[in-house]
Order: sequence, then structure tokens, then C-alpha cells
Amino acid sequence: MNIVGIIGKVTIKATAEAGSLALFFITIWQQMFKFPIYFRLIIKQCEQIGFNSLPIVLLTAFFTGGVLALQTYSGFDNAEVASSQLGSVVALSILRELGPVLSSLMVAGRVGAAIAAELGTMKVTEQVDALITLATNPIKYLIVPRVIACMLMMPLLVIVANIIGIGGGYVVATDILGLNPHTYMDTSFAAIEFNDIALGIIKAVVFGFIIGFMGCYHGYKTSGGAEGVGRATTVAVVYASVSILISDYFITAWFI
Amino acid sequence: MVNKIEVIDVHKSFNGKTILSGINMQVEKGTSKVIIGGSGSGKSVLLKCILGLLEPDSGKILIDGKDVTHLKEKDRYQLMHQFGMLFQNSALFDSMSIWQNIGFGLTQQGKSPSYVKSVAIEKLALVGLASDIAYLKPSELSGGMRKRAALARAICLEPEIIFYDEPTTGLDPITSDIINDLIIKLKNELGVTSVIITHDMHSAYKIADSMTMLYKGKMIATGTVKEIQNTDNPYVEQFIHGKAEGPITQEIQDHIQ
Ligand SMILES: Nc1ncnc2c1ncn2[C@@H]1O[C@H](COP(=O)(O)OP(=O)(O)OP(=O)(O)O)[C@@H](O)[C@H]1O
Ligand SMILES: [Mg+2]
Repeated sequence: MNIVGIIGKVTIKATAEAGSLALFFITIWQQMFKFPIYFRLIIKQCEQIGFNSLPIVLLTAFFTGGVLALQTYSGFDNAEVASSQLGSVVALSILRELGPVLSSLMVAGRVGAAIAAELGTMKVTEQVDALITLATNPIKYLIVPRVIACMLMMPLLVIVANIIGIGGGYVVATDILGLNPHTYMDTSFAAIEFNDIALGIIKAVVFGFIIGFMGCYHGYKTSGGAEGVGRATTVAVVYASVSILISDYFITAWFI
Repeated sequence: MVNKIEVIDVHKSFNGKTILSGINMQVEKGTSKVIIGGSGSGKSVLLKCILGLLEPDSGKILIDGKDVTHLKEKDRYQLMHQFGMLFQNSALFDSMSIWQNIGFGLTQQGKSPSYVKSVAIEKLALVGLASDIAYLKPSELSGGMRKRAALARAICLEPEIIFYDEPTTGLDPITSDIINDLIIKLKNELGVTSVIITHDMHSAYKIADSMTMLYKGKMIATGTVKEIQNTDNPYVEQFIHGKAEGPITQEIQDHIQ
């Protein structure tokens, strides 16, 4: 095939996909504020998405903070500068970037995949059709609670991740690198501004939406049996991760 | 008699492959219509078109004389309250227990769990299942049990129209007959209009008020059980007697060559 043909094909496919994503977005948005609202389902999803993601998010955050302290310390020329600056570098990196982004990527892998697989299976086994014949809107019943739960839980996870991440940096800096605990903490807190925390939280809400949306979109559009479910799961995680990284850039650029 | 369901010249194709090419069918109120036809002929697709799960490429579907092909979302879900559907592969919600599955519609109406449970157990008895099954998950049931649980779910809200996609497939002969009797009972006692897809001729003859055969995207014969049994259409004749030789297999062989 010639180059023009390939470019044309890719463009058409990308445009169709973008349109389909946009339509799905509008559908969810419309259903989000219509009665009935399934509070019970939202709470159940919050447990699965938020609470059950805690271990993996905490583990990631702790070691991220630790390795950040280690790497940054080795980058400083002398120990004195390091002791007065390390805390603030670690704290700001965690709050602004690493806390929200790494937690979201972990949750995208765990929750985005789970949502896509569950909805995909329901789709190919006609459970979604069954829901419709029982006069229940699947967007409202299956998708809205998951998207809302992701948007509610991601900020909470990120707050915990931030605390544990800074804690990880603290442990490494004081126990392993031998810095003074008091100066380390003081310099950390002195550097933190409200804006840094707010930026992390805003990112978390957006990333949470992306995870829920991508999981639901690819799950809901699944066709073609077990193979289709596998494909939907992979694609959901890839789309979510890439979207998180891209939107991270734009949120940061807009904020600064 | 009034037509409860009327299918007018419905066409449907997937990716250029035509499945339904001009289906016409009427189902009178309070009667049962049996649809027969070869595997892959599009019977399930036709049901999904009537239900609105698939949109026909062209043609009309009337329910109580009203065109429902292009309903707004709200009216579509409103209409669904009239319908009960037994899916060919049961389609039970595998995250819920059997009683939650059966009583899903009731739960959606805001009924209390204890009430829903009691109704679910009642419906289980109707389809010949013991009450202790109510607490199991669909994955813990056999295929035939799942089918019957799905049937219980379909009839739970006592809908006006019930669609059965192969209700007796995979059931033993005695259970099959229990299901046949249940379908007849629902029709006689509640005036349910039923559309039944089946490959089980014994069951078809027992429950049908009218039968129709789908072949190559069209209804090639429609009539009462007597009329279908005494048909002079060679395709129908081969099909209902399940013969390996006849015009249907001949066409397939011609196609291969
Ligand atoms: N969603 C779909 N996408 C593409 N093709 C489909 C879809 N649903 C059904 N088909 C095709 O339509 C044809 C008819 O399918 P259908 O399930 O209606 O058959 P059937 O008459 O119910 O057969 P059976 O008796 O085996 O259940 C099949 O060839 C199938 O491949
Ligand atoms: Mg079928």
C-alpha cells in the first residue's frame, strides 16, 4: 500500500475513535446527573477501586520516596547543601508529580484492567443486553458508578501516597544517608505550599476519571468473545496510561 | 384478534452479510408463536431486533400497533417493562446470587430484599428448582439449571410479552415438559403473548398457536401446528422431520460445489 493510503486509513480510524470516545463521554455525562443514582453501587465500587488499591499504591509510594532521596542525594555536590535541600526536593517531586502520576499508573493497571475485563465479559455474555431487557440503563447502572468511584477514590489514594512517599524519603534520608531528622522535616515542610498539594489533587481527579472512563469505554465496546475481552483489557490500560502522561503535561503547563 | 407484535419487512445485515432480508410476522395478543429455523439462520437476531437490542437496517416493528423502531431512550426503557426475555445462553449476572438475579427487576423497583427473596423462591419453584439454589452464584449451577433460573428471571415481573430463546435446550425430557406446561400456563392464566424459538419439535407442537419457519432471511411458511405438520413446502417438511436429505441440504451441497 502507498504512504498516502496508509496515512489516510490511520487518520480515518483515529478520527472515528476520537468521535466514538467523545460520544461516550457525552453519554456518561448525561447519565451522571439523572435519577436514579445508585449510591449503593458507588460505595461498592469505591471499596473495590479505592480501598483494595491501597496496598499496591502504598508500596509504590514508599519506594518511590526512598529511591528519590537516594538519587537526589548522590546528585548533590556536598553533604551540607544536601541536608538543607533534600527534604524539599523530595517533598515537591512527590506532591507535584510522582505521587499522583505513579499512583494513577498503578491504579490504571489494576482497576482499569479489572473494569474493562468485567464489563467486557458482561458484554460478550449478553449480560449487558439482559440488563437492558430488565429496563435498566447499563450506562447508569454499570458505568457511572465506576467512573464516579474512580474520581472520588483517586484523590484519596494520592493523599495517602503523598504522605507515605514523603515518609519513604524521610526514612532513607535519616536512617540510611544519616541526615538530621529535624532539619530534614523542617526543610520539607518549609518548601510545601498549598498550590503544590492542590495541583496533585486536581491531577488525581483527572487521572481517576481517565482510568474509569477508559476501562468502561473499552469494556463496553468489547466484541468477539474471550479474545475480545483480552484485547479490551490491554487497550484500556494502554490508553489510560498514555492519557495520564499526556494530560499530566498539560495540567502542569497550565498550572505553572 | 389484535396483533400484539407486528414485524414488517425487517432487514438486518452484519458487515455486509445479510441475515434478515424482509421478515414479516404477526403475533396475536395472548397467543404463542414458535419460530423454527436452522442454526445461524437469524432467529436470535430477529428477537433482538424486536426487543430493540439491535436496530434493524430497515423495516418496522410495531408493538400494540405503535412503531417502536426509533424510540427515544426513555420510551425504550419504559417499553422494556412490558417485555421478558430468556436469552439463549441464560445471560445471568454472574456477580449476583440466583435470587438477586431473579428479583433484579423487583429490586430496581425498590422492593425490600426479604420480599424479593421470597418472590424469587416462588419463581424458582415454578421452573422446578429447589429453594436452596437461591443462594448460589450462576457459576455454581449446571447449564440446565442456569437456563431455568434465567427463565424465572424473565417471568418474574409478569410481563405482557415473553420471548423465549430455546427454553428447553439442554434440559432433560421431564424438565422440558415442565417448562412447556409453564409457558402454556402463563399464556392461559396471565394472557401472556409469547414468542418462542426452539429446535425441539415436540415442544413446538405442544406450545404453539402458530408456527413460522425462518430460512435464508425470510419467513418461508407460517401456520398452525396442523398446517405446518401437513405442509407441502419441501423445505419445511425436511426441517420438521429432521431429515438429512432434502432441498435444504441439497442447496448447501450445491453451494459448496
Ligand atoms: N453481533 C453480531 N455481529 C455479527 N454477526 C452476528 C451478530 N449476531 C449474530 N450474527 C450472525 O448472524 C447470524 C445469525 O445468528 P443468530 O444468533 O440469530 O442465529 P440463530 O438462528 O439464533 O442460530 P441458533 O439456532 O444456533 O441459535 C449468524 O451467522 C451470526 O454469525
Ligand atoms: Mg439463537
